[in-house]
Amino acid sequence: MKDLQPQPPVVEENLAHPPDSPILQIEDLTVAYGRQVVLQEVSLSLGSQQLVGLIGPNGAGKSTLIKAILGMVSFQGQVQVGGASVARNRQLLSYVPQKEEVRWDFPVTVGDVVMMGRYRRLGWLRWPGRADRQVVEKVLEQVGMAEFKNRQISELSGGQQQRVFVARALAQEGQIMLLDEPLTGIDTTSQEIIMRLLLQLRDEGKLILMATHDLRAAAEMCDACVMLNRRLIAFGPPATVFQPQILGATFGNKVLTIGGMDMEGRAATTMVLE
Amino acid sequence: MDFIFTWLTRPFNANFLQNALKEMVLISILSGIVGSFVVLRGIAFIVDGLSHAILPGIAVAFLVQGNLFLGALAAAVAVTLVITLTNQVASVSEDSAIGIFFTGAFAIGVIIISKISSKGRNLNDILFGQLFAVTDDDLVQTLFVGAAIVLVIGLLGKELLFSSFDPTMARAVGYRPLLLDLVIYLAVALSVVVSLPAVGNILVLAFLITPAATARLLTARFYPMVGLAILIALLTSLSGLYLSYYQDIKGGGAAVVVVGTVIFLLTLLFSPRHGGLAWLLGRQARRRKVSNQP
Repeated sequence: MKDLQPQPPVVEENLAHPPDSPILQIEDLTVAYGRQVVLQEVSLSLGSQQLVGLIGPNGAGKSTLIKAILGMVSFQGQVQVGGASVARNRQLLSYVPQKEEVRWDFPVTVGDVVMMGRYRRLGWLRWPGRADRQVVEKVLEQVGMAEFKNRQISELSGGQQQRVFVARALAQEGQIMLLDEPLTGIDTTSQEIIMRLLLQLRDEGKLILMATHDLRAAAEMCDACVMLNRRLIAFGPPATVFQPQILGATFGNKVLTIGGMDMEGRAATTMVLE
Repeated sequence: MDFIFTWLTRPFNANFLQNALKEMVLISILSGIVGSFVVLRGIAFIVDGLSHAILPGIAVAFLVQGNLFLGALAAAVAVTLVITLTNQVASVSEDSAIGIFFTGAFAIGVIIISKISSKGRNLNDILFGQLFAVTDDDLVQTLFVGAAIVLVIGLLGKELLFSSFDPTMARAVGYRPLLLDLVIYLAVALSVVVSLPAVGNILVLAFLITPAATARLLTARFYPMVGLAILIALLTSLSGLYLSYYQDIKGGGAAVVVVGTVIFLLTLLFSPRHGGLAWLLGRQARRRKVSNQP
């Protein structure tokens, strides 16, 4: 990994208006694994009803930022969810982890996996009831996987597995949805289903934070993008942050811009070389 | 018919065999449940090490005529701590640390036991068990400790399943996987200790792993897997008992383990889902398909 730039250009331009009542607030977040600083002094304030892209190259700290919000890594700084600590307001969070982190040969069905999204709400020593089973049916319907409910998860394609993960996050019923590379390495049908669903959830009032390196998808669907490379490089609507110098600062020399950007900041002409 | 009936019932007229049978039933149920988690989490190697590492604890407990459980538990905790610390401090990988310290503890146990073998059970009995010498006290102990383990696993069932399947997500929703891991390891350690008089602390591993691994080959659902593991363990134990009775095999535990291994191998060959035969036939079918294409 390359060294941090000595002088802090950090936020090129903080282009988005800060929300009136932020549901997710991050202040001076710094994460280090041993001596390796993975995230440095990231500050962000996000309100409801937004679809926010988390953009950066591999090793930029996208996953780490999400895990810090979830309280899964120790950090310096502050993270507030719904005005309180994560420990207190964890039920506001839904999470779609990278699908590589799971044992797919595990003998559980699609329905079992989605039901796990309900467990924390249920609490210890209590078993899922009718209401929970109805939620599972509903969210499987939403991701177009209802007829797969009794399938063993290893029998699914990568895209279907990802949709099951999204369904499990839906079953958590959080106001904030954190997704780690939900569109990477899956078929286009699944991509479209997930993208359409995310837009719908945004319209219903949720805050959605999605890590991705698909600039094109981000340009098309995100209300705002967090440009991240161990520091916050820029934050704002895609049209304003997808500019050559910001993309350059985010991706280093790995971005090739052909013919510049049009006024709407379409990234179709931009390729990330990784 | 009469002949078969007599053949089947004859062993159980003997009192010592009744105890052996009851003990095997209890251990089968226990190991089917605990073993399913061991197999699914892929922690067979750790369990292997753990079962060896408790030997010095048991040996010292013998020496001071103290409680076997406490001795085993203390040893397990101590060795696990040493491994975790070694892992943190030095650049020794976890599996190397397990290999070093679990075996080291085991060797210390062997030395202590060989020094005190005159008192009660000898080294062989502890390592390989003495199925036909199971006492009423042993039975009661297995019953109560086993019931406690099954109860705890039952009550924490959904959390244990969740954290075994997806530890990352379990942490994300606020569980402490370390705590849940501890429940599993404790359940394993206690299962090993209660099984000790009957099957010894080396062969017990086969009880904790083989039936569950066999069941896994036959089903892709968790609860059926646990049920099947128990059934397979029962079938294995009973067959093993007959085998050792009619073939006059000392110890008995070894015969049960051999039967279990054979059942596993047969399942591996003939299982419709993952069986080697099914795989071979499938491959031939695939080949034919490929060659039939224009």
